[in-house]
Amino acid sequence: MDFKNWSSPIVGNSHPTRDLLIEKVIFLMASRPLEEITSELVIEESGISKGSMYHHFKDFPELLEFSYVEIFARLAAGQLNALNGVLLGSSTREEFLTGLRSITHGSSDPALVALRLARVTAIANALSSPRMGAMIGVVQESLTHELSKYFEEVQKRGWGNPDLDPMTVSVFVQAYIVGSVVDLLTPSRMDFEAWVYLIDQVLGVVLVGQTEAD
Amino acid sequence: MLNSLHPTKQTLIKSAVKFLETTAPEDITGEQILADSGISKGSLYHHFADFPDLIEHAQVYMFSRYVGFSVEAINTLLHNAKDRESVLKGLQEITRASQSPNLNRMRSIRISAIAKSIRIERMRILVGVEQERLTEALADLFRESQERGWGNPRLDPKTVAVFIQSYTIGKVLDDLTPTHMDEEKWYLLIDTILANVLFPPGLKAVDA
Repeated sequence: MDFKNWSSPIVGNSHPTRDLLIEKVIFLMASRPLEEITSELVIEESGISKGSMYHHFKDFPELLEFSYVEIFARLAAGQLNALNGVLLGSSTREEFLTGLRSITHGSSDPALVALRLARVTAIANALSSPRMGAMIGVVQESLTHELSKYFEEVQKRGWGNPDLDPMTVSVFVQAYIVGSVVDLLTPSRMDFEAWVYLIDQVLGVVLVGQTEAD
Repeated sequence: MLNSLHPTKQTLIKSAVKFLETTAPEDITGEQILADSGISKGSLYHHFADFPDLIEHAQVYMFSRYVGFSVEAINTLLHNAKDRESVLKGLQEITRASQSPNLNRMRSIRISAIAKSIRIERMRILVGVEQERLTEALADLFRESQERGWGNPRLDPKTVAVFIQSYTIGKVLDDLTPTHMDEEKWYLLIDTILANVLFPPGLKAVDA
């Protein structure tokens, strides 16, 4: 499988100043709380003038929206590449599961957590703004499709549960990752190792389950 | 939650909830709510810091109502459960009721509340309390199931509580795309996980 042509819908396809502003916002989102990201801060950090910023974006929220879509797409591409690497590097079901486990472990990385929060914000915006909804819808559709193809490949190797529908598995895997942000809302948190264990069980018993052929 | 509030505050929140059931939070205006509720502008700003504060309270109220229904359904299930099969059957019904396409409005409101909690401290505090209530109720259900010999003893109850909510909320991703997955296949996957990972067959009751 090849995800090389699965690239950014935005950055690289527009004006360099636009790209620079979006890159700067993404950089800031990974390192600061969202409420601190103001137009003043972006202007200061990017060295781009206010006039130029508002030439390229209707308003500051529009710059944020484009940045969210870009983050969403990059997270998706990153996940797909990591998964692809695991599949390419595995010759047995056990190796494949071990690789998947290391991806689950990596998901607690603070930078990834910050980006996941940004993804939730992007989803919320997509549900309320038709413009954002259209942009996110395209990226989401493509991601769900790619992950479905991935699961089909895993099924072909004899590791993926043949009783499951690839598109459903694709939505499910993304769903628990995105939805796990609920844990960040409560004062006390779940034990992360216990989470890794549970996901590992779901993968090993159901999705990449031991079939009768094993 | 609502009954303990000042009557004017209640009226305003109820009015905002009515609009939230059909309209995106960003598209609701102060004028609409004042006209609908018959409450004066001065009174609104006496009870809420600003207009967004009212909308936030209304979103939290809706979430809280949803939590209330869920906790009640879970408690009924636990109370009536006789064996592993009846727990699984009850959970299958709750899955179908809580994840139906008709609830896409509820998922959307919940995601919006979560997104606001990420950005706005005062919202985080309001949502955090309700979120904790739901997570604890689900964790209790699982702990109880473990004691009765149905729930997988190797799993941490709170983690299971977060997991169940995660896929329920995350299903919103399918609401975003033009093509949708087959609803029945989703339920089949969830049922398979419940019956094989969370409530696997062949467990023995834990000695109390």
